Amino acid sequence: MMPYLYRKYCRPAVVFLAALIGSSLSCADENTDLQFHGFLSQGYLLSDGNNFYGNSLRGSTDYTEAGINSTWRASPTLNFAGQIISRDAGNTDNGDVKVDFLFADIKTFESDASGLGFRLGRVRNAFGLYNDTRDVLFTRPTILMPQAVYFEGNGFRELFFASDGVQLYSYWDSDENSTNFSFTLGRDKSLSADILRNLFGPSASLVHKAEFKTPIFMQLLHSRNGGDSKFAFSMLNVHLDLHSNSSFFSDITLDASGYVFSAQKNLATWTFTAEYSLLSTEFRTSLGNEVNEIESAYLQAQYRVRPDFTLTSRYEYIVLDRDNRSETDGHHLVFGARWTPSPSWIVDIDVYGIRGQSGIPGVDNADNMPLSERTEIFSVMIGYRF
Amino acid sequence: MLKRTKRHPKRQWHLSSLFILATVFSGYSHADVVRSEANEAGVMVIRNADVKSGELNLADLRAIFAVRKRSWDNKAPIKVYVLPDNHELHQRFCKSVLKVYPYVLREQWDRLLFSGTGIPPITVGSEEELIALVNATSGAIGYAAVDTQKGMPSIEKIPPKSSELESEASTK
Repeated sequence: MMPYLYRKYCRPAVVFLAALIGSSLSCADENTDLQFHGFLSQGYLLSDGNNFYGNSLRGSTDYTEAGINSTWRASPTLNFAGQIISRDAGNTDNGDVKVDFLFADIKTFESDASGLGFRLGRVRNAFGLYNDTRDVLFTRPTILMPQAVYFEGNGFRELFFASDGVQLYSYWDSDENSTNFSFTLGRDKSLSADILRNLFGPSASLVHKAEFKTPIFMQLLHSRNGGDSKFAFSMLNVHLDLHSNSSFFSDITLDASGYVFSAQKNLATWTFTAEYSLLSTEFRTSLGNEVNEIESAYLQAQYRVRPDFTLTSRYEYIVLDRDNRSETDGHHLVFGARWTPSPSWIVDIDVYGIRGQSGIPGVDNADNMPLSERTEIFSVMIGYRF
Repeated sequence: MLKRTKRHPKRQWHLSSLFILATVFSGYSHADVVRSEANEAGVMVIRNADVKSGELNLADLRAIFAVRKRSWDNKAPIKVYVLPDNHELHQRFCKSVLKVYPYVLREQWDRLLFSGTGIPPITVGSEEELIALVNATSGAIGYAAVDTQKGMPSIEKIPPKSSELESEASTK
């Protein structure tokens, strides 16, 4: 599967980037139409209770993210953008170079106060406040994304973060406010064995083939007074066909629809963020249906002691089955400090206290299952961007 | 293009004197900058003289500096130049002209950059370099401090500054 994906996506991307580099060298002036940027971050995790990204019980450096992107403004109405990333996160991600996004952005209408266009190719899904840039330390609040809403450790990340398809976007500005809308329709794709293992843990071996059908992502984001306040509603709807390789189990389909409500208030020194997510899943088998609702939310406060030094605290609440709240709930408490000695450098130090197994990557632990109901993580991450 | 006439009663007068050329930067053969009237915080918006769009209100400036709006009225591409986030003039511009916190603007730019959905403004090292680039680049927009452009004609009113900077401006 991976060699196929590599051939299909990575080679064109390398060619695309090489072509852009070539064209930039051929016109090396103060050209603003072509830009290159990138990021690199390296984490260290030391945990108690469960492994999180590698063998963190003994201390793990198995958490690295790197990416390089390019944007090219071919004309005022036509942009091209591409990013390749390598992400190593314990056993959940193996560091392979992947095409993160690669699309043409065609702006079909623009007036003083509104605009409309669409993007064609592999696009990041706008979902919640952080999903579309979740792999970049500089654009997420802490070393680990909130497990509530974003489900970093549960394998949903691979389903959420990008779609191959078409994305419609538009915005309306008024004097003080701006409203953005995006709608993404992805095409079918097969899920790799790695993604299935992250999603289903030990049960993944029963799945012979999995197809992700016509995913839909939608977001309405209202930004007031230049971004002082932000309110967003996000929605996703996906369908998964699972073909079993066991004669005992029949084929299974999984329909999932989710909603996220987001709110953020930015003040001079404080930022308050709250997000609530409800994800409904329905398994259908020949034996019957099973409906399950995953509910999660978090509250986060960030305090800028100085412009280059920020303290963050966050409380997360996750219920993996709303009908069985007391046995499937999880509580995460996060404290973090962020130092940005220059615009290019960032140093994060976080402490996580986790009760319950939600968000713990099973594949980093023995038998693909979390070991303990209790996890503490100390984490340091250094990031660089250009 | 022209909007919010209640806020700009002198709009007609301002329009008549639009597009006056500057000659400060004689190192450039077409050293033409259109500048706004400085606000009380001492910041003015500057544009390359080939930009034929009219007066820019707060919503226009926010859309331009947040890179939502990409073209001028004549369809020419907008090229935005800014100073580093920690530059005193950049912070003054964000607070008094755009009325946004610099870190909020940076978050918006980073989101565009790392999702590929927009091309953030070009950051230049010094105010002199910024003015020179706006001078030399077709469709360019940026900002300058009034001290740098002392004595140059004022031609365009930019939105009134936020109250929090009034005291700072009055002490200058």
